[in-house]
Amino acid sequence: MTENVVIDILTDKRVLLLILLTLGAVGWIFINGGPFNGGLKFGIDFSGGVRIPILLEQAVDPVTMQEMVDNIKTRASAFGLSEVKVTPVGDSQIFVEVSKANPQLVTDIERILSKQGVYQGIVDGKVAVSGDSLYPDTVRRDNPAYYGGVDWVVAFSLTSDGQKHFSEVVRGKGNFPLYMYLDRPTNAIVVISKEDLLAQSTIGTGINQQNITEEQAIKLVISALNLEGHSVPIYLEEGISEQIESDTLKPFDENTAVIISKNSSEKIKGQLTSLGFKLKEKSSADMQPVYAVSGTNLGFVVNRWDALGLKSAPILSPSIANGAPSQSYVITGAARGKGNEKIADADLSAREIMSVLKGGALPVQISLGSVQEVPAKLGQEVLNLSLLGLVFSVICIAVMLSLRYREPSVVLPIVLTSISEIILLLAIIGSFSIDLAAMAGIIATVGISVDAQIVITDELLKKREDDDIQHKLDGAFHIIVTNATVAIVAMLPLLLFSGLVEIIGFATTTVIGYILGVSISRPAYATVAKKLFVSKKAHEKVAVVQ
Amino acid sequence: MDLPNPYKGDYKKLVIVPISLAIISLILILFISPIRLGIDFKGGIDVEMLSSAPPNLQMLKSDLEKSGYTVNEIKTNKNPAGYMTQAELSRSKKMLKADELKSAYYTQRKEVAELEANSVIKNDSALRAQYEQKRLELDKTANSLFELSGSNAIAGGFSTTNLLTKQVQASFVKISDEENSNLRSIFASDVPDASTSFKEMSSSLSDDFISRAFMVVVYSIILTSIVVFLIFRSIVPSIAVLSGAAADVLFALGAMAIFQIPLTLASFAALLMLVGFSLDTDILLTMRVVKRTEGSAADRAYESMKTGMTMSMSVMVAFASLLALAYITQISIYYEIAAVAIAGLIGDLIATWAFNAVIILAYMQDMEKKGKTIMKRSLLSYIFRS
Repeated sequence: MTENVVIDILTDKRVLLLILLTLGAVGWIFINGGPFNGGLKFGIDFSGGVRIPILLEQAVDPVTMQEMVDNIKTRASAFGLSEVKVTPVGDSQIFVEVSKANPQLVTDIERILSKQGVYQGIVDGKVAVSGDSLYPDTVRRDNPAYYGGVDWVVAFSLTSDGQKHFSEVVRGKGNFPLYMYLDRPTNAIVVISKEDLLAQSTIGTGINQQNITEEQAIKLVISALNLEGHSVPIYLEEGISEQIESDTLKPFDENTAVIISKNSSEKIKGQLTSLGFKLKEKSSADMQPVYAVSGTNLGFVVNRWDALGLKSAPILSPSIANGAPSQSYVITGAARGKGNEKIADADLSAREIMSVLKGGALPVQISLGSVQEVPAKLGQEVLNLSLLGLVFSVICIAVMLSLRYREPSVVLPIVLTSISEIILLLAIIGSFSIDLAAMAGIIATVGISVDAQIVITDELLKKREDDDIQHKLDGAFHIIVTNATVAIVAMLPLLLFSGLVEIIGFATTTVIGYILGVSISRPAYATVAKKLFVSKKAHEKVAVVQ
Repeated sequence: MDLPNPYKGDYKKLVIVPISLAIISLILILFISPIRLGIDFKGGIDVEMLSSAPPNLQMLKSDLEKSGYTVNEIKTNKNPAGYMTQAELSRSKKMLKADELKSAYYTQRKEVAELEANSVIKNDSALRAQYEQKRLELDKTANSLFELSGSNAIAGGFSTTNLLTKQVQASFVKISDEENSNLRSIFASDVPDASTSFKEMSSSLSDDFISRAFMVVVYSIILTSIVVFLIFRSIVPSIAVLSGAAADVLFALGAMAIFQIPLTLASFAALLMLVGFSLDTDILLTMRVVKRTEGSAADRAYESMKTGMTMSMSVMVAFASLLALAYITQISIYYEIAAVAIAGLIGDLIATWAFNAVIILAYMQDMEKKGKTIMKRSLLSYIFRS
C-alpha cells in the first residue's frame, strides 16, 4: 500500500465524513466534561440510584401527561426529594429516578405516589376548608361568561359539615386571602435570605409598577405562614447565626424540619443540623415568595410560594364572607396574555387550582412498577466491566477476522470502521441515557457492523465473470440495505408502540446502529475497501509485467 | 475454513436436520420443559443479594416459605464483588389478595364517586339513592381490605367516598409495607451484612407487559412479512426467508427451554432481534443464488455459505463477549440477551444452510426446468444504489 492510496482514501468525501463525525463526537463528549463527567449520560444502572416505573391505568394525551409529571415532581419536592428525575415514557408510563440508592427514599416516593396530598385552605390563621371537607369529584370548570370579568372559574362542593365550618371561619373575613396549600409543612421553620425574600418584590410593569419593601415582605410572609397552633416561624438567613449563638432557636421536636435554600452557606446548614433540625433543601426559585396585588386594604399578598406548598391565594369575596353556608363555591381568576396565549394560561391556572383542591390527586390512576435499586459503587463497577466487555468484543472480532482473511489491510479498516461506529453510537445514545439494555445493544452493534463489512469484503474479493467493482459493491449494498430494512422493521413496533421502557434502549441502539451503518460507515468502508482493492490489483499487474 | 460443498449431490436430505431440530424444540417447549416466564411476564419478586460469604440457601428458602412466599428459584454465584445470590419468589398470598381487592375497589369507586358528585352538584335525591345503593357494594370490598390489613375501620362509617378511599389507601400501604419489611427482615436476619435489592412486579403490570409484548410480536410479524414480500416479490423465496426466521426463533425458544433461560423483557427483545439477524444470511443466500448467474447454483450457495459463516461468527463473537461479561457481572439482562442471541444464531446456521439453501436450490432447479424468469427486481433495488 503506498502513501498515495492512504491519502486518496482519507480525502474521499465519505471517509472524510465518517472521520469528521467521529472526531466531532469525541470532541463533543469531551467538551461536555469527558465520558464519565457528563459527556455521556448513564442510566442509574451505571451511575447508581433508584428507579420506580409508574404505569398509568390508561393512555393519556401529552397535556395530561405533563400535568402528571409536574404533579409528581411538585409532590416529591414537597417531601424534600428535590433530586428526583421524573420522565414521561410514551403515553402511559412515567419513570421516577433518584440518583441515590436509599431504601428509605423508595418507601418515601412510594408513599407520596400512593397517597393523596393534603389540601388546606387557610383564612386568617384558621383552616377554612380541607381536602376532607370537599367532594373531590365535584371539583369542576365552570363557564367564566357567567361570572363577568374573569378568565377562568373552578367550582367545588363541600360536605354538609364542611359548609358549616367554612361559613364560620370566613365570617367577617371579606377581602382576606384564602391561602391554598398543598402538603403544607406542619412541623418546620423557614430560613430565607433577603435576596430570595425580595427577588419577586417588584409587581407589574411601567406605571403600574410597585415595589414591596423588606418590612412589608416580612409581614406578608408571616401572614401567609400563620396557622393556629401550627404556624411556621420564619427567620432571615442574615440574622440566623445570632439566633443560633444566643440559644433561642431550637427544634420543636426530633422531627422538626428547616426549609432552606440549597444555596445557603454550608456553615449555617451544619449549625442547624447540629441543633437537631432536619434539612429540607429547596431550589432558590422555590424559596422565593411570589407577591401579587390583592386589590384590598391589605394591599399585597403572597400568592405563591412553592417551597412551602402555597399554590395560590384567591381573595374571598365579601358576599361569601357574610353569607350563609352554601354547598358550592367558585374560585375565579384572570389570565395573562392575549388570544390563544390567554386561553392557555387560563387553562393552566384552572387546572392547577383543580389539582390542588383534589389534594394533588393525579388525573389518572397509577400503579407502581418494579422498583430497581443500584448502589453507586456497583454501578461504576458494572460500567467499567461493560466497557471492558465492549473492547474485548472488538479484540475478539479482530482476531477472528485476522484468522479468516490473514491480511491486515482488510482487517484494519473493518475494525477501525466499527470503532468509529461505536463512538458515534455512544455519543448519540449517551446524550440521552445509556442503560444496561443500550449497552447490550452497543455490543451487539459491533457484531452487526462487522457482519455487514464482511459482506462488502467478500463481494469484492470474490471472482466473478464481470469484474466490475462498482457492480460488486451494488450487490453488497443491496444485501446490506435489504437486511437493515428488515431488521429495523422487525424492531420498530418494540421501539415505537410498546412502552416497554426497560428494553427500549436495546431497540433504539440496534436501530440507530443499523441506520448509522447503512448511511455513514458502510459507504465509507466500501470506499476504503474499493481503493485498497484497486491498488492491490494494480500491484499484481505490475508484478506480472515485470 | 475449507468445508466440502454440501450442495453438490443429494443435498435435499440436509433438511432432515433442521426439521428434526424444529420438532424437538416444539416437543421440548410444549411437553417436556415449558419455557419459564420471568417476573416481567408473570409477576413476582426478583431478589439480588451481594454478600461477602456464601449464604445458607436452605435456611433462606425455608424461612421464606414459612412466611407465605413460594421460592421458584434460588442460586448463588461468585462475582468480583463477592457472592451474588439471585432468587425469584412469587408474591405472598396476602399481597396478591390485597392487590386484587385494591384494583376491585378502584374499578367500583369510579362510578360511585361520579354518582356522589352528581347527586351533590345537581342536588338530586334519585341520584343520591342510586349512589347509596352502589356505595354498599363498594363498602363490602373496602371492608374485606380493612379486615386483611387488621384494621378495625368500618366502611359504612365514612361519610364520603373520598374519606373511604383515603382509608383504603392507608390500609393497602400498611399491608404492602408490612409485607415488604417482613421480606427484607428475612433476608437481613438470614444473611447479615449483605446488600440486597428487590424488584417487584404486580400481576396487573405483568399482564400489561404480556399484552404489550404480544402486540409487538403481532406488529413485527405483519410488518416484517410485508417488507419481505415487497423486497422479494416472489412467494417461495419470501416464505423460505420468513420460515427461516421463524425457525431461528423456535430454536432459540428450544434452547431457552433446555437451559432454563426465562422469558423476560430482555430475552424477548433478543428474540425480536433474531428476526433481523436471521435474515441477513438468508438474504445473502437468496440474492446470490437466485439473482446471479456466475457458476452453478450449488457453487454460489457454497460461496454464500462461506461468507455467511464468517458473518454469523462475527456476530456470535460479539454476543459471546456479552455472555462472558454476563458471567463476570452476573447481570441477568446481559445473560438473557446474549444466551438467546447465541442460541438463535447457532440455530440460524442450521436453518439457513440446511433448510433455506435447500429450498432455494430446489426452487431454482424447478424454475430452470420450466424455463421461467427467476425473480423480479426488488423494489429496494430501485431506491438504493451504492
